[in-house]
Amino acid sequence: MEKHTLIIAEKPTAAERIAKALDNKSKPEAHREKCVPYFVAKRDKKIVVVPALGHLYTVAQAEGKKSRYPTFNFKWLPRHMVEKGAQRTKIWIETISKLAQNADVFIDACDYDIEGSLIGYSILDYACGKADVAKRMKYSTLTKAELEHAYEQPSLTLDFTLIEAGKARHEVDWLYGINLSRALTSAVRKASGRYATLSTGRVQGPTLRFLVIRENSIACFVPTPYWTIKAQIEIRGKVYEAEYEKKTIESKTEAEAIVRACKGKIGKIAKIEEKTFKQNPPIPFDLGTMQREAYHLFSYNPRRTTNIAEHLYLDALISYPRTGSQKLPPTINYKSILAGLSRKSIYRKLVSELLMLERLKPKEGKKEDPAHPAVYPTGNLPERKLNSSEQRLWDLVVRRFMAAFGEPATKRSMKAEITVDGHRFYLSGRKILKEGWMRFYRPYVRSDEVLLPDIQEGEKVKVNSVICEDKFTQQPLRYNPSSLLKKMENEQIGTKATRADIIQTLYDRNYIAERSVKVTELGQSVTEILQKHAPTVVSVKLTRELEEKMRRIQNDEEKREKVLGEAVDRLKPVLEELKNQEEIIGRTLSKSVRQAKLQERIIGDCPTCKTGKLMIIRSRKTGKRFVGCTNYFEGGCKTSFPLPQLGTVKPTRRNCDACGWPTVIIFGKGRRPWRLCLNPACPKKEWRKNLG
Amino acid sequence: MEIVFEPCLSEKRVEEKSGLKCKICSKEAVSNGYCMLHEKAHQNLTEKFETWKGALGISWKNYLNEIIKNPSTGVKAREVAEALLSIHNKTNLA
Repeated sequence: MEKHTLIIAEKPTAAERIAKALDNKSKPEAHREKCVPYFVAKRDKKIVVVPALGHLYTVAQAEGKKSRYPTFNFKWLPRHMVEKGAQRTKIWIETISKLAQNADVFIDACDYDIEGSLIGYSILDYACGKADVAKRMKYSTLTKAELEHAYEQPSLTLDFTLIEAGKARHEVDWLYGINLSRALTSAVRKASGRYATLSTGRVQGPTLRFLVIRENSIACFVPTPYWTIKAQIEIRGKVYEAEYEKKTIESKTEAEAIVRACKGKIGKIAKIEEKTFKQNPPIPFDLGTMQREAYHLFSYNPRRTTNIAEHLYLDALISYPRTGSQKLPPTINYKSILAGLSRKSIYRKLVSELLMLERLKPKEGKKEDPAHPAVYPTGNLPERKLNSSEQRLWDLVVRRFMAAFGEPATKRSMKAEITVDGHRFYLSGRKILKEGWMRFYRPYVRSDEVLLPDIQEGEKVKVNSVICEDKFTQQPLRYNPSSLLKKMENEQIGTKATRADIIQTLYDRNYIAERSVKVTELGQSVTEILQKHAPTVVSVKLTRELEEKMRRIQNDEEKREKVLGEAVDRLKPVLEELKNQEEIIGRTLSKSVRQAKLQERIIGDCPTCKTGKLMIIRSRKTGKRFVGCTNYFEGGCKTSFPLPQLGTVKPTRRNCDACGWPTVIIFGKGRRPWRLCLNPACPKKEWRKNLG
Repeated sequence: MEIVFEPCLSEKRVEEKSGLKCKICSKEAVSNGYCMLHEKAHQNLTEKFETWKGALGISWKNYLNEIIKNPSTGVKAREVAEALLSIHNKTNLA
């Protein structure tokens, strides 16, 4: 029987793309073995491309009871042996092992990063037993040309330093995650007799701590008063607003005196300062910058952006998104990408402008990634209709790429000093003289053009009115998923691939809520406990140190075993302390868990008694759920509303825009989530009824 | 590396010594009869009074009333202001 080459890809879509790129006729045969898809391509020889399903192997406890801690013995096992919901991976491993039997060449073609390398390695080692002879295909886009090149010129060995770094990351995270989470969960179970999923981890702990610190400074905030003064200046029939020389005035008497002195007076343009400056193009996207820009422009949370980008990558529309690089090397072939994009009419004119430039040289950022360049469009056009979010993100990547090649924009700022009875006011304006790169990045440019009239020094102007505004200092801003991601990046904790997921876990565990992040009581308790009994776990400094050590493993400057040993040494005393204080910790956490569960059921204020809260309740008698007021027993408020009995009901924490009553959202199987206003006489319901 | 733990009082000890409970939330008190957060809010309130006095020439009682009314005041700061105001009112009545 003819021997074949076995290629391991990371996902089914990637496997299909690879097979299509490598097949002589671009029409590989699609096969399915016990629901595992694989593709057979014909080239110089038969090539079988089989996908993984993410990680097929994972770190698990080697022996002993599953709820015990501390536990430091682990081994790598197939996921189906460890996780209840991973039964499908068993068939996957069996199929790959079967396909490996008749193969003579083994290639890892998973994404070229730590996770991809580890996924490929564990399959080639545990399922095929060929990790030592396997080759590695390295690519940044799933385009035909790049995949063919990667196949023709693979690395002759697997990237073992990346694999070691990946193993170390998984193992250290397992040691931290499993032990600390078990400590918290076990404390609650012993104190209350109930099970609650509580978790913390190496990066999760310090991230939650940032949020708690911010939450506390908001809770303890005391505002102070200040005043701002603005003058309405009339110049040639048009009114402009000039700001007083001091941005804030801290005394009411002083503010009032200024207003009295300037009111109804004639001002004089004492000085005009003009400055022309250049603004460089924006740098190409690394994952973090792209996530922040997408949050700012489209309000996509970081995880959503990563998921959309992943789809675009699998469709070969953009390069690999999990990159830390802000550089675009010439090897990606700028001209051919632009030529590809020019096939789309909306980009044609812009591309032709770029191609007319003497030299194509992108503006680049400082960050580098040895594995991948910055995110860029491949030049391919969509083969299917993209949904609106995919279309938006793709357009953003395309325009950002084009903007990077644009010339700097030229702007002029103007500042006029107006004196009124010895007091100085300033009128500021900004004008774009030459758009440069901004043409390519529209509509995503944040432009702030303020045009001023033609004025001369010494000119007299009329002060129509002087306005004094009472103000108060404001609380520190809450983090949002985007600013939190930036904070994690700045503090160098987590990796570009994991940060978005860690933020999501904090939401899933009910430690934080809302888009403008609020820490829940449970989140506060967990952090307080860890801060008190396990300060090393929430220490940013120690987390960063560990992160640095793992980076050193990747560069072959540190041994995995040594880093693991240090992690265990650090964890041992922490776990001992947690065990000693289990009773106290359990009592505090149980209270918070109860509170959190209660909070999950609160819908909003009772519109009838105004003092109680509306809550989702399950009737002991009928087993049916409904909404009732918490004042039922104390205050006798009998307000209640029926609820649909199927699906999951969650409070929206937002009142109905039509009647102001609390609303809930219902998630039903196979249905789109729908919002329900509790008010039976809601005008919206009436309107719908009439419409019907 | 040596790991230094922050000293902590057991909850039982806190309960035994009633003086060690926060006047507002019954958590472990650290100073002035307040827990860590309420004490921080208390410090902020005391510090910011000087700014308010300079800005508006306001009395302590009016200051506390303004702080309670202000929507930008943090939850803990408001709780401390309410507690301080009730102490102030009681002292004046006596």
